[in-house]
Amino acid sequence: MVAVERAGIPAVAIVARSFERAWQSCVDGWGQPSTAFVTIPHATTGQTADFIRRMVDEQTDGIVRSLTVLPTAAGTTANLQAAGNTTEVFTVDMDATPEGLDAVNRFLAERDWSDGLPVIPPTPETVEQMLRATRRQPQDVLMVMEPGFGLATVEKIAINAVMAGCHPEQFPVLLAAIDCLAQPEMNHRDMQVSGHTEAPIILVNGPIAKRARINSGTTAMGPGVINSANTAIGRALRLCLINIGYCKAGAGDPNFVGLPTKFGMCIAENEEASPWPPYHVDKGFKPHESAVTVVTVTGPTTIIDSGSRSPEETLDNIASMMFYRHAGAGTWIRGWPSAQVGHSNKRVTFKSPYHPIILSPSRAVILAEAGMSKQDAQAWLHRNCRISLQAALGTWGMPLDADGNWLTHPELQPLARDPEATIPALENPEQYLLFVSGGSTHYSHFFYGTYGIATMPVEGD
Amino acid sequence: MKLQIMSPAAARVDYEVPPAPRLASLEGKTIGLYNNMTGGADIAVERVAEHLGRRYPSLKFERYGGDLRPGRPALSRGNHIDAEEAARIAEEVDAVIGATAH
Repeated sequence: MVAVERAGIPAVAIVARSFERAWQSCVDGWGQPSTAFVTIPHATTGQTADFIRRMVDEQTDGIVRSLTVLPTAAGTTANLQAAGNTTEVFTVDMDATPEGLDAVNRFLAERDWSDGLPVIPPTPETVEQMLRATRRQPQDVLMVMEPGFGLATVEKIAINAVMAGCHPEQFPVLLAAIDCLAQPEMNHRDMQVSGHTEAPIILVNGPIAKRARINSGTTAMGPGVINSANTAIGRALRLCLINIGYCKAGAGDPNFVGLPTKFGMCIAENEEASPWPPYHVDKGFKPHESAVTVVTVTGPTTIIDSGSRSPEETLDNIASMMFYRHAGAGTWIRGWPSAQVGHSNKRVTFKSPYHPIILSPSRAVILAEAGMSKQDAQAWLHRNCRISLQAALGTWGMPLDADGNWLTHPELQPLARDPEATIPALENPEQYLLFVSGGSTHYSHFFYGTYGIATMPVEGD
Repeated sequence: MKLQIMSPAAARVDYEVPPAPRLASLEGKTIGLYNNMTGGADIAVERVAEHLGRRYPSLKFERYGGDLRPGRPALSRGNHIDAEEAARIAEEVDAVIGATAH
Protein backbone atom coordinates (compact mmCIF):
# COMPACT_ATOMS: atom_id res chain seq x y z
CA MET A 1 0.00 0.00 0.00
CA VAL A 2 2.90 2.37 0.67
CA ALA A 3 4.16 1.66 -2.85
CA VAL A 4 0.77 2.75 -4.19
CA GLU A 5 0.81 5.92 -2.08
CA ARG A 6 4.32 6.61 -3.32
CA ALA A 7 3.02 6.35 -6.87
CA GLY A 8 0.65 9.21 -6.07
CA ILE A 9 -2.80 7.73 -5.39
CA PRO A 10 -4.51 7.05 -2.06
CA ALA A 11 -4.68 3.52 -0.69
CA VAL A 12 -6.38 1.79 2.19
CA ALA A 13 -6.01 -1.78 3.41
CA ILE A 14 -8.29 -4.20 5.18
CA VAL A 15 -6.27 -5.75 8.01
CA ALA A 16 -7.13 -8.46 10.51
CA ARG A 17 -7.11 -6.98 14.01
CA SER A 18 -4.38 -9.31 15.26
CA PHE A 19 -2.12 -7.91 12.51
CA GLU A 20 -2.72 -4.28 13.47
CA ARG A 21 0.62 -3.83 15.23
CA ALA A 22 2.38 -5.77 12.48
CA TRP A 23 0.83 -3.47 9.90
CA GLN A 24 1.96 -0.41 11.83
CA SER A 25 5.45 -1.79 12.22
CA CYS A 26 5.75 -2.48 8.50
CA VAL A 27 4.46 0.88 7.31
CA ASP A 28 6.76 2.58 9.83
CA GLY A 29 9.65 0.81 8.14
CA TRP A 30 8.40 1.66 4.68
CA GLY A 31 8.40 5.32 5.58
CA GLN A 32 4.72 6.13 5.90
CA PRO A 33 3.46 5.54 9.45
CA SER A 34 0.08 7.06 8.60
CA THR A 35 -0.82 4.60 5.82
CA ALA A 36 -4.58 4.07 6.06
CA PHE A 37 -6.17 0.81 7.15
CA VAL A 38 -9.39 -0.52 8.60
CA THR A 39 -9.56 -3.61 10.76
CA ILE A 40 -11.75 -6.69 10.76
CA PRO A 41 -12.00 -9.04 13.75
CA HIS A 42 -10.36 -12.13 12.22
CA ALA A 43 -8.09 -13.24 9.41
CA THR A 44 -10.03 -14.09 6.25
CA THR A 45 -8.12 -17.25 5.33
CA GLY A 46 -10.33 -20.31 5.63
CA GLN A 47 -13.45 -18.39 6.65
CA THR A 48 -16.71 -18.79 4.78
CA ALA A 49 -17.63 -16.15 2.25
CA ASP A 50 -20.62 -15.14 4.34
CA PHE A 51 -18.49 -14.66 7.45
CA ILE A 52 -15.95 -12.54 5.54
CA ARG A 53 -18.73 -10.37 4.10
CA ARG A 54 -20.21 -9.80 7.55
CA MET A 55 -16.79 -8.77 8.89
CA VAL A 56 -16.35 -6.28 6.04
CA ASP A 57 -19.87 -4.86 6.09
CA GLU A 58 -19.19 -2.26 8.76
CA GLN A 59 -16.02 -0.90 7.15
CA THR A 60 -17.40 1.11 4.23
CA ASP A 61 -17.43 4.48 6.01
CA GLY A 62 -13.87 4.02 7.20
CA ILE A 63 -12.70 3.10 3.71
CA VAL A 64 -14.37 6.13 2.13
CA ARG A 65 -12.90 8.37 4.82
CA SER A 66 -9.42 6.91 4.27
CA LEU A 67 -9.55 7.70 0.56
CA THR A 68 -10.97 11.22 0.91
CA VAL A 69 -9.44 12.65 4.10
CA LEU A 70 -5.72 13.17 4.48
CA PRO A 71 -4.48 11.14 7.46
CA THR A 72 -3.27 13.32 10.29
CA ALA A 73 -2.00 10.66 12.69
CA ALA A 74 1.69 10.05 12.32
CA GLY A 75 1.44 6.47 13.51
CA THR A 76 3.89 5.13 16.02
CA THR A 77 7.38 6.43 15.88
CA ALA A 78 8.30 5.31 19.39
CA ASN A 79 11.64 3.61 19.72
CA LEU A 80 12.74 4.75 16.30
CA GLN A 81 16.32 5.87 16.31
CA ALA A 82 17.47 8.39 13.78
CA ALA A 83 20.04 7.21 11.28
CA GLY A 84 23.56 7.90 12.39
CA ASN A 85 26.82 6.23 13.22
CA THR A 86 27.04 7.03 16.91
CA THR A 87 25.87 4.34 19.27
CA GLU A 88 24.19 5.71 22.34
CA VAL A 89 25.78 4.78 25.66
CA PHE A 90 23.57 4.73 28.75
CA THR A 91 24.50 4.68 32.40
CA VAL A 92 22.56 2.25 34.58
CA ASP A 93 22.70 2.20 38.38
CA MET A 94 23.33 -1.26 39.78
CA ASP A 95 23.79 -2.56 43.31
CA ALA A 96 23.80 -5.91 45.09
CA THR A 97 20.06 -5.99 45.74
CA PRO A 98 17.90 -8.22 43.55
CA GLU A 99 16.48 -5.08 41.91
CA GLY A 100 19.92 -3.59 41.42
CA LEU A 101 21.32 -6.75 39.83
CA ASP A 102 18.42 -6.73 37.40
CA ALA A 103 18.70 -3.04 36.52
CA VAL A 104 20.25 -3.58 33.08
CA ASN A 105 17.60 -6.12 32.10
CA ARG A 106 14.83 -3.78 33.20
CA PHE A 107 16.42 -0.91 31.30
CA LEU A 108 16.56 -2.97 28.10
CA ALA A 109 13.09 -4.48 28.56
CA GLU A 110 11.53 -1.04 29.01
CA ARG A 111 12.81 -0.18 25.53
CA ASP A 112 11.79 -3.53 24.01
CA TRP A 113 15.45 -4.33 23.32
CA SER A 114 15.44 -7.90 24.56
CA ASP A 115 14.13 -11.40 23.89
CA GLY A 116 12.67 -11.40 27.39
CA LEU A 117 15.47 -13.39 29.02
CA PRO A 118 18.25 -11.90 31.13
CA VAL A 119 21.21 -10.67 29.10
CA ILE A 120 24.90 -9.94 29.63
CA PRO A 121 25.32 -6.14 29.90
CA PRO A 122 26.85 -4.83 26.64
CA THR A 123 29.43 -2.53 28.16
CA PRO A 124 31.88 -0.66 25.90
CA GLU A 125 34.63 -2.97 27.16
CA THR A 126 32.84 -6.25 26.43
CA VAL A 127 31.76 -4.96 23.02
CA GLU A 128 35.34 -3.93 22.23
CA GLN A 129 36.50 -7.46 23.08
CA MET A 130 33.92 -8.87 20.71
CA LEU A 131 34.99 -6.52 17.93
CA ARG A 132 38.59 -7.73 18.21
CA ALA A 133 37.41 -11.14 16.93
CA THR A 134 36.85 -9.80 13.41
CA ARG A 135 38.87 -7.91 10.84
CA ARG A 136 35.78 -5.99 9.81
CA GLN A 137 35.37 -2.39 10.86
CA PRO A 138 32.77 -1.49 13.52
CA GLN A 139 30.79 0.72 11.16
CA ASP A 140 30.81 -1.70 8.22
CA VAL A 141 27.17 -2.38 7.26
CA LEU A 142 26.49 -6.05 6.51
CA MET A 143 22.87 -5.53 5.49
CA VAL A 144 19.74 -3.47 5.88
CA MET A 145 17.54 -5.64 8.05
CA GLU A 146 13.78 -5.58 7.51
CA PRO A 147 11.05 -4.88 8.47
CA GLY A 148 12.55 -1.92 10.33
CA PHE A 149 15.26 -1.24 7.73
CA GLY A 150 17.89 -1.19 10.48
CA LEU A 151 21.56 -0.88 9.57
CA ALA A 152 23.33 -4.07 10.63
CA THR A 153 26.74 -2.64 11.47
CA VAL A 154 29.44 -4.89 12.87
CA GLU A 155 29.28 -2.89 16.11
CA LYS A 156 25.52 -3.38 16.56
CA ILE A 157 25.90 -7.08 15.85
CA ALA A 158 28.69 -7.23 18.45
CA ILE A 159 26.50 -5.51 21.06
CA ASN A 160 23.75 -8.06 20.53
CA ALA A 161 26.30 -10.89 20.58
CA VAL A 162 27.51 -9.77 24.00
CA MET A 163 23.94 -9.60 25.27
CA ALA A 164 23.29 -13.16 24.07
CA GLY A 165 26.31 -14.52 25.93
CA CYS A 166 28.54 -15.09 22.90
CA HIS A 167 32.28 -15.36 23.37
CA PRO A 168 34.52 -13.55 20.88
CA GLU A 169 35.60 -16.77 19.13
CA GLN A 170 31.93 -17.31 18.24
CA PHE A 171 31.50 -13.87 16.70
CA PRO A 172 32.69 -14.83 13.16
CA VAL A 173 29.95 -17.47 13.02
CA LEU A 174 27.33 -14.88 13.85
CA LEU A 175 28.73 -12.46 11.26
CA ALA A 176 28.60 -15.20 8.61
CA ALA A 177 25.00 -15.93 9.58
CA ILE A 178 24.15 -12.26 9.06
CA ASP A 179 26.00 -12.42 5.72
CA CYS A 180 23.62 -15.26 4.81
CA LEU A 181 20.57 -13.19 5.74
CA ALA A 182 21.92 -10.39 3.56
CA GLN A 183 21.64 -12.57 0.45
CA PRO A 184 18.45 -11.68 -1.47
CA GLU A 185 17.63 -15.38 -1.92
CA MET A 186 17.27 -15.72 1.87
CA ASN A 187 14.03 -13.73 1.63
CA HIS A 188 14.65 -12.52 5.16
CA ARG A 189 11.74 -10.09 4.95
CA ASP A 190 9.16 -12.86 4.80
CA MET A 191 11.02 -14.81 7.45
CA GLN A 192 10.67 -11.81 9.73
CA VAL A 193 7.10 -10.70 9.13
CA SER A 194 5.15 -13.85 8.29
CA GLY A 195 2.20 -14.77 10.43
CA HIS A 196 3.05 -18.44 10.33
CA THR A 197 5.73 -19.85 12.54
CA GLU A 198 9.28 -20.20 11.33
CA ALA A 199 12.78 -19.45 12.49
CA PRO A 200 16.31 -19.37 11.09
CA ILE A 201 18.49 -22.39 11.77
CA ILE A 202 22.27 -21.88 11.61
CA LEU A 203 24.22 -24.86 10.24
CA VAL A 204 27.99 -24.69 10.80
CA ASN A 205 30.71 -26.57 8.91
CA GLY A 206 34.49 -26.64 9.03
CA PRO A 207 37.15 -26.01 11.67
CA ILE A 208 35.36 -22.95 13.11
CA ALA A 209 32.92 -25.32 14.81
CA LYS A 210 35.58 -26.63 17.19
CA ARG A 211 37.21 -23.24 17.71
CA ALA A 212 33.82 -21.75 18.61
CA ARG A 213 33.06 -24.82 20.82
CA ILE A 214 29.84 -25.56 18.96
CA ASN A 215 28.52 -28.96 19.96
CA SER A 216 27.76 -31.34 17.08
CA GLY A 217 27.01 -34.41 19.18
CA THR A 218 24.46 -35.57 21.69
CA THR A 219 21.93 -32.91 22.81
CA ALA A 220 23.47 -30.29 20.49
CA MET A 221 20.16 -28.54 19.90
CA GLY A 222 19.12 -28.69 23.54
CA PRO A 223 19.93 -26.93 26.78
CA GLY A 224 23.05 -27.51 28.87
CA VAL A 225 26.52 -26.17 29.45
CA ILE A 226 28.05 -28.24 26.63
CA ASN A 227 25.67 -26.47 24.26
CA SER A 228 26.32 -22.94 25.48
CA ALA A 229 27.99 -21.85 22.23
CA ASN A 230 25.11 -23.25 20.15
CA THR A 231 22.61 -21.49 22.39
CA ALA A 232 24.45 -18.17 22.49
CA ILE A 233 25.03 -17.93 18.73
CA GLY A 234 21.43 -18.82 17.93
CA ARG A 235 20.18 -16.38 20.51
CA ALA A 236 22.47 -13.63 19.24
CA LEU A 237 20.95 -13.94 15.77
CA ARG A 238 17.47 -13.58 17.29
CA LEU A 239 18.52 -10.49 19.25
CA CYS A 240 19.87 -8.99 16.02
CA LEU A 241 16.55 -9.70 14.29
CA ILE A 242 14.75 -7.94 17.15
CA ASN A 243 17.06 -4.97 17.76
CA ILE A 244 18.50 -4.38 14.29
CA GLY A 245 15.58 -5.58 12.15
CA TYR A 246 12.95 -4.21 14.57
CA CYS A 247 11.15 -7.54 14.45
CA LYS A 248 9.39 -7.04 17.77
CA ALA A 249 7.06 -9.64 19.19
CA GLY A 250 3.47 -8.82 18.29
CA ALA A 251 4.51 -6.05 15.91
CA GLY A 252 7.13 -6.73 13.25
CA ASP A 253 6.90 -10.35 14.35
CA PRO A 254 3.22 -11.30 14.06
CA ASN A 255 3.65 -15.10 14.43
CA PHE A 256 0.28 -16.42 15.48
CA VAL A 257 1.71 -18.13 18.57
CA GLY A 258 5.47 -18.17 18.01
CA LEU A 259 7.93 -21.05 18.23
CA PRO A 260 10.40 -22.03 20.95
CA THR A 261 12.97 -22.45 18.17
CA LYS A 262 12.77 -18.69 17.57
CA PHE A 263 14.94 -18.15 20.63
CA GLY A 264 17.74 -19.51 18.49
CA MET A 265 19.06 -22.57 16.67
CA CYS A 266 22.69 -23.27 15.85
CA ILE A 267 24.26 -26.66 15.22
CA ALA A 268 27.47 -27.95 13.66
CA GLU A 269 27.77 -30.97 11.42
CA ASN A 270 29.29 -34.00 13.15
CA GLU A 271 31.97 -34.26 10.49
CA GLU A 272 34.05 -36.80 12.39
CA ALA A 273 31.21 -39.28 12.76
CA SER A 274 29.67 -38.73 9.34
CA PRO A 275 30.55 -41.23 6.60
CA TRP A 276 29.95 -38.57 3.96
CA PRO A 277 31.68 -35.32 2.95
CA PRO A 278 30.31 -32.39 4.96
CA TYR A 279 27.59 -30.14 3.63
CA HIS A 280 29.83 -27.16 2.88
CA VAL A 281 31.97 -29.38 0.62
CA ASP A 282 28.79 -30.18 -1.34
CA LYS A 283 28.49 -26.43 -1.79
CA GLY A 284 32.01 -26.10 -3.20
CA PHE A 285 34.04 -25.24 -0.11
CA LYS A 286 37.25 -27.07 0.83
CA PRO A 287 37.10 -29.31 3.92
CA HIS A 288 39.55 -27.03 5.77
CA GLU A 289 37.40 -23.97 5.09
CA SER A 290 34.52 -22.97 7.32
CA ALA A 291 31.05 -22.00 6.21
CA VAL A 292 27.70 -21.13 7.71
CA THR A 293 24.34 -21.98 6.17
CA VAL A 294 21.12 -20.36 7.29
CA VAL A 295 17.73 -21.83 6.39
CA THR A 296 14.30 -20.55 7.38
CA VAL A 297 12.38 -23.48 8.83
CA THR A 298 9.45 -24.58 10.86
CA GLY A 299 9.44 -27.68 13.00
CA PRO A 300 11.25 -29.94 13.70
CA THR A 301 9.45 -33.24 13.74
CA THR A 302 11.48 -36.10 15.18
CA ILE A 303 11.73 -39.19 13.00
CA ILE A 304 11.90 -42.29 15.21
CA ASP A 305 13.53 -45.04 13.19
CA SER A 306 13.57 -47.97 15.60
CA GLY A 307 11.71 -50.32 13.25
CA SER A 308 13.74 -50.02 10.06
CA ARG A 309 15.67 -53.07 8.88
CA SER A 310 17.13 -51.76 5.62
CA PRO A 311 18.45 -48.54 4.11
CA GLU A 312 15.30 -48.26 2.03
CA GLU A 313 13.14 -48.46 5.15
CA THR A 314 15.28 -45.80 6.80
CA LEU A 315 14.80 -43.51 3.81
CA ASP A 316 11.11 -44.38 3.60
CA ASN A 317 10.77 -43.35 7.23
CA ILE A 318 12.32 -39.97 6.40
CA ALA A 319 10.14 -39.69 3.32
CA SER A 320 7.05 -40.10 5.49
CA MET A 321 7.62 -36.55 6.75
CA MET A 322 6.56 -35.24 3.36
CA PHE A 323 2.98 -36.11 4.28
CA TYR A 324 2.62 -32.56 5.56
CA ARG A 325 0.34 -30.76 3.14
CA HIS A 326 2.27 -27.51 3.23
CA ALA A 327 5.74 -29.01 2.87
CA GLY A 328 6.03 -27.13 -0.39
CA ALA A 329 5.27 -30.26 -2.37
CA GLY A 330 4.58 -29.51 -6.03
CA THR A 331 4.78 -25.73 -5.75
CA TRP A 332 7.78 -25.76 -8.10
CA ILE A 333 5.56 -26.28 -11.13
CA ARG A 334 4.55 -22.62 -10.92
CA GLY A 335 8.19 -21.53 -10.98
CA TRP A 336 10.44 -20.37 -8.20
CA PRO A 337 9.00 -17.85 -5.74
CA SER A 338 10.18 -14.26 -5.47
CA ALA A 339 11.82 -12.57 -2.55
CA GLN A 340 11.40 -8.83 -2.31
CA VAL A 341 14.01 -6.53 -0.91
CA GLY A 342 14.35 -2.87 -0.08
CA HIS A 343 11.99 0.04 -0.22
CA SER A 344 11.40 -0.51 -3.95
CA ASN A 345 10.14 -4.09 -3.31
CA LYS A 346 12.56 -5.30 -5.96
CA ARG A 347 11.90 -8.97 -6.78
CA VAL A 348 14.56 -11.64 -6.66
CA THR A 349 13.79 -15.23 -7.61
CA PHE A 350 14.97 -17.82 -5.11
CA LYS A 351 14.89 -21.59 -4.69
CA SER A 352 12.60 -22.96 -2.04
CA PRO A 353 11.94 -24.95 0.03
CA TYR A 354 15.04 -26.71 1.34
CA HIS A 355 14.16 -29.16 4.11
CA PRO A 356 17.06 -29.66 6.54
CA ILE A 357 17.11 -33.24 7.75
CA ILE A 358 19.35 -33.56 10.81
CA LEU A 359 20.46 -37.11 10.31
CA SER A 360 21.94 -39.03 13.22
CA PRO A 361 25.38 -40.39 12.29
CA SER A 362 24.11 -43.94 12.71
CA ARG A 363 21.37 -43.36 10.11
CA ALA A 364 23.95 -41.98 7.69
CA VAL A 365 26.18 -45.02 8.34
CA ILE A 366 23.30 -47.39 7.49
CA LEU A 367 23.00 -45.71 4.11
CA ALA A 368 26.74 -45.46 3.52
CA GLU A 369 27.29 -49.13 4.41
CA ALA A 370 24.74 -49.99 1.74
CA GLY A 371 26.89 -48.11 -0.75
CA MET A 372 24.82 -44.95 -0.87
CA SER A 373 26.49 -41.59 -1.16
CA LYS A 374 24.67 -38.59 0.24
CA GLN A 375 23.62 -37.73 -3.31
CA ASP A 376 22.26 -41.26 -3.76
CA ALA A 377 20.14 -40.84 -0.64
CA GLN A 378 18.89 -37.46 -1.84
CA ALA A 379 18.08 -38.96 -5.24
CA TRP A 380 16.12 -41.77 -3.55
CA LEU A 381 14.03 -39.24 -1.61
CA HIS A 382 13.50 -37.18 -4.74
CA ARG A 383 12.43 -40.25 -6.69
CA ASN A 384 10.08 -41.61 -4.06
CA CYS A 385 8.51 -38.51 -2.52
CA ARG A 386 5.85 -37.67 -5.08
CA ILE A 387 2.60 -35.78 -5.23
CA SER A 388 -0.32 -36.10 -7.62
CA LEU A 389 -0.25 -33.43 -10.30
CA GLN A 390 -3.88 -32.64 -9.58
CA ALA A 391 -3.02 -31.91 -5.95
CA ALA A 392 -0.10 -29.72 -7.02
CA LEU A 393 -2.38 -27.68 -9.27
CA GLY A 394 -4.74 -27.26 -6.33
CA THR A 395 -6.82 -24.15 -6.19
CA TRP A 396 -4.08 -21.89 -7.54
CA GLY A 397 -3.87 -23.37 -11.02
CA MET A 398 -1.06 -22.37 -13.32
CA PRO A 399 0.12 -19.10 -14.85
CA LEU A 400 -1.18 -19.13 -18.42
CA ASP A 401 -0.52 -17.28 -21.63
CA ALA A 402 -3.35 -15.82 -23.71
CA ASP A 403 -3.90 -19.22 -25.40
CA GLY A 404 -4.16 -21.14 -22.16
CA ASN A 405 -0.66 -22.61 -22.34
CA TRP A 406 1.30 -23.07 -19.13
CA LEU A 407 3.97 -20.41 -18.76
CA THR A 408 6.03 -22.65 -16.49
CA HIS A 409 6.84 -26.32 -17.07
CA PRO A 410 4.76 -26.61 -20.26
CA GLU A 411 6.14 -30.14 -20.67
CA LEU A 412 3.82 -31.23 -17.84
CA GLN A 413 0.65 -29.74 -19.30
CA PRO A 414 -0.27 -32.89 -21.31
CA LEU A 415 -0.41 -34.79 -17.99
CA ALA A 416 -2.91 -32.39 -16.44
CA ARG A 417 -5.91 -34.47 -17.50
CA ASP A 418 -4.47 -37.69 -16.09
CA PRO A 419 -5.80 -38.16 -12.55
CA GLU A 420 -3.05 -40.72 -11.88
CA ALA A 421 -0.14 -38.48 -12.92
CA THR A 422 2.43 -37.72 -10.24
CA ILE A 423 5.42 -35.40 -10.05
CA PRO A 424 8.37 -35.21 -7.61
CA ALA A 425 7.36 -33.37 -4.44
CA LEU A 426 10.45 -31.15 -4.64
CA GLU A 427 12.10 -30.13 -7.88
CA ASN A 428 15.69 -31.03 -7.03
CA PRO A 429 17.23 -33.81 -4.89
CA GLU A 430 19.47 -31.30 -3.08
CA GLN A 431 16.36 -29.76 -1.50
CA TYR A 432 16.45 -32.71 0.90
CA LEU A 433 19.29 -31.13 2.86
CA LEU A 434 20.98 -34.04 4.66
CA PHE A 435 23.06 -32.72 7.57
CA VAL A 436 24.68 -35.30 9.83
CA SER A 437 24.69 -34.23 13.46
CA GLY A 438 23.85 -35.25 16.99
CA GLY A 439 24.53 -38.49 18.80
CA SER A 440 24.72 -41.77 16.93
CA THR A 441 21.31 -43.28 17.49
CA HIS A 442 18.09 -44.09 15.65
CA TYR A 443 16.60 -40.61 15.43
CA SER A 444 16.57 -37.76 12.97
CA HIS A 445 14.97 -34.34 12.89
CA PHE A 446 12.99 -33.15 9.90
CA PHE A 447 12.70 -29.39 9.53
CA TYR A 448 10.33 -27.97 6.97
CA GLY A 449 12.03 -25.24 4.98
CA THR A 450 9.74 -22.30 4.40
CA TYR A 451 11.63 -19.47 2.73
CA GLY A 452 15.20 -19.10 1.58
CA ILE A 453 18.63 -20.56 2.17
CA ALA A 454 22.15 -19.20 1.84
CA THR A 455 25.68 -20.41 2.59
CA MET A 456 28.54 -18.01 3.27
CA PRO A 457 32.19 -18.40 4.29
CA VAL A 458 33.44 -17.70 7.79
CA GLU A 459 36.30 -15.23 7.86
CA GLY A 460 39.66 -16.52 8.95
CA ASP A 461 39.51 -20.00 7.37
CA MET B 1 27.79 0.96 41.03
CA LYS B 2 27.18 2.65 37.72
CA LEU B 3 27.43 0.55 34.59
CA GLN B 4 27.65 1.88 31.06
CA ILE B 5 25.85 -0.11 28.38
CA MET B 6 25.67 0.41 24.64
CA SER B 7 22.39 0.59 22.77
CA PRO B 8 21.66 -2.59 20.80
CA ALA B 9 19.08 -0.83 18.62
CA ALA B 10 20.16 -0.11 15.07
CA ALA B 11 19.95 3.18 13.27
CA ARG B 12 17.35 2.98 10.54
CA VAL B 13 17.51 3.91 6.90
CA ASP B 14 16.12 7.40 6.58
CA TYR B 15 13.16 6.98 4.23
CA GLU B 16 9.90 8.85 4.13
CA VAL B 17 6.86 8.61 1.88
CA PRO B 18 4.39 11.48 2.23
CA PRO B 19 0.70 10.54 1.94
CA ALA B 20 -0.75 10.80 -1.55
CA PRO B 21 -3.36 13.53 -2.15
CA ARG B 22 -6.87 12.35 -1.24
CA LEU B 23 -9.87 12.30 -3.56
CA ALA B 24 -12.46 15.08 -3.26
CA SER B 25 -15.13 12.42 -3.78
CA LEU B 26 -15.35 8.85 -5.02
CA GLU B 27 -18.06 9.86 -7.52
CA GLY B 28 -17.06 8.86 -11.05
CA LYS B 29 -13.73 7.42 -9.99
CA THR B 30 -12.06 4.11 -10.80
CA ILE B 31 -10.98 2.09 -7.78
CA GLY B 32 -8.38 -0.66 -7.83
CA LEU B 33 -9.22 -3.74 -5.81
CA TYR B 34 -6.05 -5.52 -4.73
CA ASN B 35 -6.03 -8.95 -3.17
CA ASN B 36 -2.72 -10.66 -2.53
CA MET B 37 -4.29 -14.09 -2.94
CA THR B 38 -4.34 -14.93 0.73
CA GLY B 39 -7.52 -16.91 1.26
CA GLY B 40 -10.65 -14.75 1.30
CA ALA B 41 -8.93 -11.50 0.38
CA ASP B 42 -10.81 -11.52 -2.94
CA ILE B 43 -14.14 -11.91 -1.12
CA ALA B 44 -13.29 -9.04 1.23
CA VAL B 45 -12.48 -6.52 -1.49
CA GLU B 46 -15.44 -7.61 -3.64
CA ARG B 47 -17.77 -7.01 -0.68
CA VAL B 48 -16.36 -3.52 -0.30
CA ALA B 49 -16.97 -2.97 -4.01
CA GLU B 50 -20.62 -4.04 -3.58
CA HIS B 51 -21.16 -1.46 -0.83
CA LEU B 52 -19.33 1.31 -2.63
CA GLY B 53 -21.09 0.54 -5.90
CA ARG B 54 -24.46 1.04 -4.24
CA ARG B 55 -23.33 4.30 -2.64
CA TYR B 56 -21.62 5.66 -5.78
CA PRO B 57 -23.31 4.16 -8.88
CA SER B 58 -20.82 5.85 -11.23
CA LEU B 59 -17.87 4.10 -9.58
CA LYS B 60 -15.79 1.69 -11.67
CA PHE B 61 -13.48 -1.05 -10.45
CA GLU B 62 -10.31 -2.67 -11.71
CA ARG B 63 -9.05 -5.92 -10.17
CA TYR B 64 -5.43 -6.62 -9.27
CA GLY B 65 -4.11 -9.85 -7.89
CA GLY B 66 -6.16 -13.00 -8.08
CA ASP B 67 -5.85 -14.99 -11.29
CA LEU B 68 -2.64 -14.53 -13.20
CA ARG B 69 -3.62 -12.79 -16.42
CA PRO B 70 -1.51 -11.94 -19.44
CA GLY B 71 -0.57 -8.31 -19.61
CA ARG B 72 -1.46 -7.61 -15.98
CA PRO B 73 0.98 -6.94 -13.15
CA ALA B 74 2.30 -10.26 -11.89
CA LEU B 75 0.78 -9.78 -8.47
CA SER B 76 0.41 -13.04 -6.68
CA ARG B 77 0.41 -14.69 -3.31
CA GLY B 78 3.23 -13.51 -1.12
CA ASN B 79 4.32 -10.72 -3.42
CA HIS B 80 4.09 -7.06 -2.63
CA ILE B 81 3.44 -4.46 -5.28
CA ASP B 82 6.76 -3.18 -6.51
CA ALA B 83 7.51 0.36 -7.62
CA GLU B 84 7.04 -0.36 -11.33
CA GLU B 85 3.70 -2.09 -10.80
CA ALA B 86 2.53 0.67 -8.49
CA ALA B 87 3.28 3.24 -11.19
CA ARG B 88 1.22 1.23 -13.71
CA ILE B 89 -1.67 0.88 -11.26
CA ALA B 90 -1.59 4.63 -10.54
CA GLU B 91 -2.07 5.29 -14.25
CA GLU B 92 -5.12 3.02 -14.42
CA VAL B 93 -7.06 3.87 -11.27
CA ASP B 94 -7.68 6.76 -8.86
CA ALA B 95 -7.28 4.85 -5.58
CA VAL B 96 -6.64 1.34 -4.29
CA ILE B 97 -8.40 -0.78 -1.69
CA GLY B 98 -6.43 -3.81 -0.63
CA ALA B 99 -6.84 -6.84 1.55
CA THR B 100 -3.31 -7.79 2.38
CA ALA B 101 -3.03 -9.12 5.91
CA HIS B 102 -4.45 -12.54 6.40
